[in-house]
Amino acid sequence: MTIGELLSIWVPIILVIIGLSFVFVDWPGWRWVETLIIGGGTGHTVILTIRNIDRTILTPIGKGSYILIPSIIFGLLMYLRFAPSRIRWLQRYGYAWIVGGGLGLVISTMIQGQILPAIQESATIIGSTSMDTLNNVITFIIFVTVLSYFIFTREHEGALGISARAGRIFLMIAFGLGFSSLMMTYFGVLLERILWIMTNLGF
Amino acid sequence: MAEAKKSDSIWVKIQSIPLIPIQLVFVLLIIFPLVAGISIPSVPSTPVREYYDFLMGLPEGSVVVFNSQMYGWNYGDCAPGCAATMNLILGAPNNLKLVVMFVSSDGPMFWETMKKDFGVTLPPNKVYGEDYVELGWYVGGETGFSTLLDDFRTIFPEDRFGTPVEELPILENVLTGNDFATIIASTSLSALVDYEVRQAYGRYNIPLLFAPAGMTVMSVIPYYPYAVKGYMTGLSGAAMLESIIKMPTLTSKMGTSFSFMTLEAFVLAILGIVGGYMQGKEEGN
Repeated sequence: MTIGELLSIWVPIILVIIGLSFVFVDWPGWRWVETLIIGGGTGHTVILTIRNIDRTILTPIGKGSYILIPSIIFGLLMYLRFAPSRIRWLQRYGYAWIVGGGLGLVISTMIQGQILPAIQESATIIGSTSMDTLNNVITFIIFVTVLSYFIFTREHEGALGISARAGRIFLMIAFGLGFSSLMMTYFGVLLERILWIMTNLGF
Repeated sequence: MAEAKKSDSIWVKIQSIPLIPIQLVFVLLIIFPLVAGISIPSVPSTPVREYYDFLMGLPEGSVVVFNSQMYGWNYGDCAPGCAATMNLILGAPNNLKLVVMFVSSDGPMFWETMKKDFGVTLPPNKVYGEDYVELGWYVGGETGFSTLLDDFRTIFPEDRFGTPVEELPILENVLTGNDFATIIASTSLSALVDYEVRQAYGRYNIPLLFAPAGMTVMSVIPYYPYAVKGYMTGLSGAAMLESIIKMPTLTSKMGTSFSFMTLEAFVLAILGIVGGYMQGKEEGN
């Protein structure tokens, strides 16, 4: 094995171990690895972004697609937040373009793709099988009780109190499930790294 | 963490166990099945089975788009799903075509790493450009995604190696979202799930499949089964898919370790909840 091959195995292994050491202690080695990752990642992204601007904007403009010029102007306007206050206000046009366009795109499709089908699904009780129907009934009960928890214009007493309490329990179950699924990702990431170290060590 | 006294009950002592031994046991539990070669069979869940069935039920030669948001942070949880899906699609009897694209600039780099780590290769009867293609990454998030559904070639005039799309037979008839049989996304980003549902399902009625990281599955479930036809969650879902397609790779090994880890976490969580409750009861709270 050459020195280059040895280094290509051992340097990443040491970096991963230093990275994992944060679980036990916060020390300068860990902070150095953190900075290395952020610096390396930023450098990589900057280079690829420049290449991408060249590929999707500058090269097409060079070939005659002048319709792309306004997009460059609006993009550059956003950098005016670093300019003197006299012309800083111009940055808002760049942001307005992005926020306005994004909102227009999202709101029109949200109703069609998310809100209406979700209401339809929640309000459907009779399913194709008895298990489906039971599932739908449970979903509907959870939907109503959780919704009732967020009614703040009336005191949570009587039927509303019982419903809101049930809604709170369902919310807690959902948050618990959310947290456990987050842990699954952490487990997966940790497992892959340990396996990677073992593989490189020849196990 | 407060030191437990000798006179304290077992519940108080449990709450005072130092973290480092627990973490070391955790690591040993990961390594043990890998070294000992223990394998626990995984039983596919309904959404994973539906994920498989949906792909197998597509018409001959359908174009399947794989949208990968796999990067350094979620690699361990997303890569097994990407590898299992790639093996499934490239070996599918209905001759599916796979178009891969990326959400972020580091996507192609991690895709290469995934193929190397999990030993995913193009089968001998498949040709790059005809059955499989890797496009680059699209910019603009939801806006970029929406644009590629309207006009695929505006966002991807070439593949990631610089070959113009006109020279790639797989993309010959791919112009808009109407030409995709389905879109599969591997992601840990909830926003991506939402915008795929809005743009691909909402506007083009494209059925969706997801191979999300564990942390994102809660964002996928609300759209199942009307927009999302099936999903496989992280590493465990990938191990289930491998058990269906009977192509065990590194993922199946990892799945066993994952089961051991989950079991220990479950036992610790129960001990913590019961211990906390009993301790509170003893203290009169």
